Amino acid sequence: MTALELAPLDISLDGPRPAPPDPRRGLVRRVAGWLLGHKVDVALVTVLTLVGALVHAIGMTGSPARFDDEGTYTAYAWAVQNWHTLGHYTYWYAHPPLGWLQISAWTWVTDGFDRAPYAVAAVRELMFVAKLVSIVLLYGLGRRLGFGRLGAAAAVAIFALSPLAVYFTRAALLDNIVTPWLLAAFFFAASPRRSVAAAVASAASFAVAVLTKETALLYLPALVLLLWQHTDRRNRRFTLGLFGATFTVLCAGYPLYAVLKNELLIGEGHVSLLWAVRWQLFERTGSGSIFDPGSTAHAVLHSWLVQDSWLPKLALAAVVPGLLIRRTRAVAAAFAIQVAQLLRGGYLPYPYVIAMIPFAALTVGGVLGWLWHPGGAGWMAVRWAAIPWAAVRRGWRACLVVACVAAVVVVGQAWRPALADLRTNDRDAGKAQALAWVRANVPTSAYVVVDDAYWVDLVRAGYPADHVIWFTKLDVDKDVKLPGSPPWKGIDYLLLDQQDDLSLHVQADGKPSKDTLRLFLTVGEALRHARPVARFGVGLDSVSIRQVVP
Amino acid sequence: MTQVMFMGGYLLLTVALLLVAITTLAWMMDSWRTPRAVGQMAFPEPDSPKLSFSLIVPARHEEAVLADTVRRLLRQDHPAVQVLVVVGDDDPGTAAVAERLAREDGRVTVVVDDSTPKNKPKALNRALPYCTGQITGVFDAEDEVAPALLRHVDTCFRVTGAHVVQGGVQLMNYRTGWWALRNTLEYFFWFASRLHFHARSGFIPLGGNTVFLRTDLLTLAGGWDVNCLAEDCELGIRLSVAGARVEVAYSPELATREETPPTLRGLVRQRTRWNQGYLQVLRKGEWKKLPRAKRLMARYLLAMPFMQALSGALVPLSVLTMVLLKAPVLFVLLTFLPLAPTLATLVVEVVGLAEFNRMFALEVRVRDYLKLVAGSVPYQLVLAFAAMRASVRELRGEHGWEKTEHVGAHRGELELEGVR
Repeated sequence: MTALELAPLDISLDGPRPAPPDPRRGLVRRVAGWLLGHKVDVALVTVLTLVGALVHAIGMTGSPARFDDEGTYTAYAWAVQNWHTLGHYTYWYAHPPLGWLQISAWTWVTDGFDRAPYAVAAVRELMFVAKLVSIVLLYGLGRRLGFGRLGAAAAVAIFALSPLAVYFTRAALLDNIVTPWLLAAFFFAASPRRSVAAAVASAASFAVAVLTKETALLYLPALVLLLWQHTDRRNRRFTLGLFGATFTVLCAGYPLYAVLKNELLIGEGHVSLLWAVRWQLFERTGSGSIFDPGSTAHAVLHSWLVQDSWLPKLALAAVVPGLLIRRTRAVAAAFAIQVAQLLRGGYLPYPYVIAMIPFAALTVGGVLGWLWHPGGAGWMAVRWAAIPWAAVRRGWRACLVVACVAAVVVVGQAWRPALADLRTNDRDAGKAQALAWVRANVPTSAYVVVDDAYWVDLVRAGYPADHVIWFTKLDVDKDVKLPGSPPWKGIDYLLLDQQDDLSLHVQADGKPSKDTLRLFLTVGEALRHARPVARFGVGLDSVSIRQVVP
Repeated sequence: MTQVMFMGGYLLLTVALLLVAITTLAWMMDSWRTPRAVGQMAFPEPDSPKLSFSLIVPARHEEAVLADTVRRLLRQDHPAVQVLVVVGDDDPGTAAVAERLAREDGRVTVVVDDSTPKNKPKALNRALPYCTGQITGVFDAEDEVAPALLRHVDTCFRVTGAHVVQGGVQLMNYRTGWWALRNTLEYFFWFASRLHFHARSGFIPLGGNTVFLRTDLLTLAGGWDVNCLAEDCELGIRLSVAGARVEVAYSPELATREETPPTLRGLVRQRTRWNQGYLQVLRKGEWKKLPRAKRLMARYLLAMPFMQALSGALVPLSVLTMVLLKAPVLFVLLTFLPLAPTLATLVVEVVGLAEFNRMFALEVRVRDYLKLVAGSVPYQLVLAFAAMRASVRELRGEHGWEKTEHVGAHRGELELEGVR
């Protein structure tokens, strides 16, 4: 650098100063410049998003058929919007409430319940939005992790086209709201500028994910690993320190709420956060081992594999190389954590797979991207520059192209009928008919015990909220009151689907089993004195209406 | 109705506190925002010196430390240094030390200040006409200046084309008292980080020493404002308005080492003076000539010591009222919001202490970290008290200069003996 003498003074203390440039024009230019600089990526992600949107949206109210869990979050959100309470029954800290607060914001702003064909369908619209956001973030994350366009696009294609993903990401579940927040947390953690602001954004996104569904907490080790990989020695202390502080402080809002309501500690006559945590962690009945053909866990796993066995196979094949390659390590770890949790046993919810899908897709896409352009695999680092013959590289890539085309053909063949089914099959038709039947044949004065998927629709149809009773709340919530003595005599109708029958241990002939009567006293007795009056739909999606005859 | 109004007012206050806490936090860690920014914290590598320097050292009742300070300044590895010691006509002790130094070394000039009452800006202005260097620097009588500083400043002026270069000042005696640790860390965040942000945004209150200005610019500006208790801040604002380019650089080995006030009372007095100075600059309104966006920043910044101190005092208060008060849960939850950045700030302070420890190769122990955390609320209360005291004094029209005394606690005991 040239060292000049002091230049003549170029300012005065009284002269007029030039006006600064308009910051807005600068912003427009910067955005335009960014878009131009990334035009291939922007085009690619636009096409991928469009394809993902079409595959997701066409048929999303018909398949899957609405089910109980979806109805529960729908009803919670409805209660937030209409009653300004955290649920349609006493909020007992089963999950943090941020998930259905987001749902209620959506249904309130878009007037969802008045517009959608049925209540759960209004919430599924938000899942559609979450899916689109997730696709963009997934692509961005793949690019930031250095997967290349091929790897990132492959990850998105898997996420958008796997029938397993399409089926589950359509459902109105908290897990589907978690996905974009979780991906955002990973996206920010992989910031190329390695800024403290990005770490704070990551922590905030992750806190929202955890406050949407606490199970997101499982991803913390993978996220911290990614953040560690993407921080610099020079500001790491600040980055990690503020990440921890932001995440902890935001999450503390949840126990703080419980403290303010005097519902943190276990006590007589009120719900409590600690009790709910204890129940979730230790007391909830496990689903058994996935390897035991008679267990619930095995059945749940089977229900996933029926949708699509290719994504699980590809992801399991990619997870070990994924852990070895530096750039895919964090996302492969996120997937591996979930697999380990699956093997461990314990309670396995039906939609557990949702959180695994984006990381499975990223692992597969990342490993593919590495095969195309290897490098930086830690101890097994292979650098193309070290191999002198360009021909080898061309040959290898030709093989890869052939393998990819073959994979697309084979997997495509497997996915096509399933995707067609998701597009055209109205699996919800039976549920809709059942609702129509109730509205036509059951007086609004009746007490109806229902699957939660119907709760909001029935209340909106004019049935008083205290007459429409979610079946899991009987004998549990002291605010649920029936006019009969014993209570089951007050029930007029039962509206339950095949899944509810299974979870109530109802026998194949529709009669309550010993377990039903032991575990679910009021519902059990009602079922014993009930006669079927109508049945709609087929298989697990079928729903039966029973009238109680005391 | 009254309750709704009370709650609305309270929420507004909460949002204000939240903003103050977040901006304070963002600015205090500005230099660590990206690895690239960390690289911009230090002085550029020095080349061969080309410029000449005049260093003003105002000294008032400083016979204990002055000789050592000036001798250190004369040991600078820079060929063109002039030292101007300003002594009062009523302070024969210090004057005698200054005269002796002038006899020892021809580069020292003694300037006598016969104004009444005396203050630092007046002393500086007295010396300004005698400054022959292209660059004028200011040091306090107790400053321990790194011998390689001027060579770095020389390069910095020429490489960056700056009009003003602000070097780092660092308190070192962090074990003197519980508040000394926090006071030390305040300096660290201020000079290592926050001033860099202000320089970048084109609006900067300068520091009281280790500040270097082009002599031609300083003469053009007419020197310092003799009526202001924060003459350094005031000059910074005036030069910011003129569009001066200010470069801030902080290298631990080049930071000027200073001491905290010897007592908590001294700290309160010093802080009162600074706060009152800020208030005077706010009232003087020079900043109103800035463009709109910077004007908002100026208003905010100059009123900041008060908001910050008050927010510190209000946080525990709000927690207390909210626990005792019966209000809707959502409302109470919202009032806790400012606590979030406040806790995050505490984490950043702990990290900052670790960084300070590393940069200065100190031996900070677990005990010191605990002291840092435990001292958070009391220190905020001390700052709040100083802020209120400043407001009251300014309203009453008391503009006296409460000078900070120096005992040389930042120097090793051996060195002090040599001085005596």
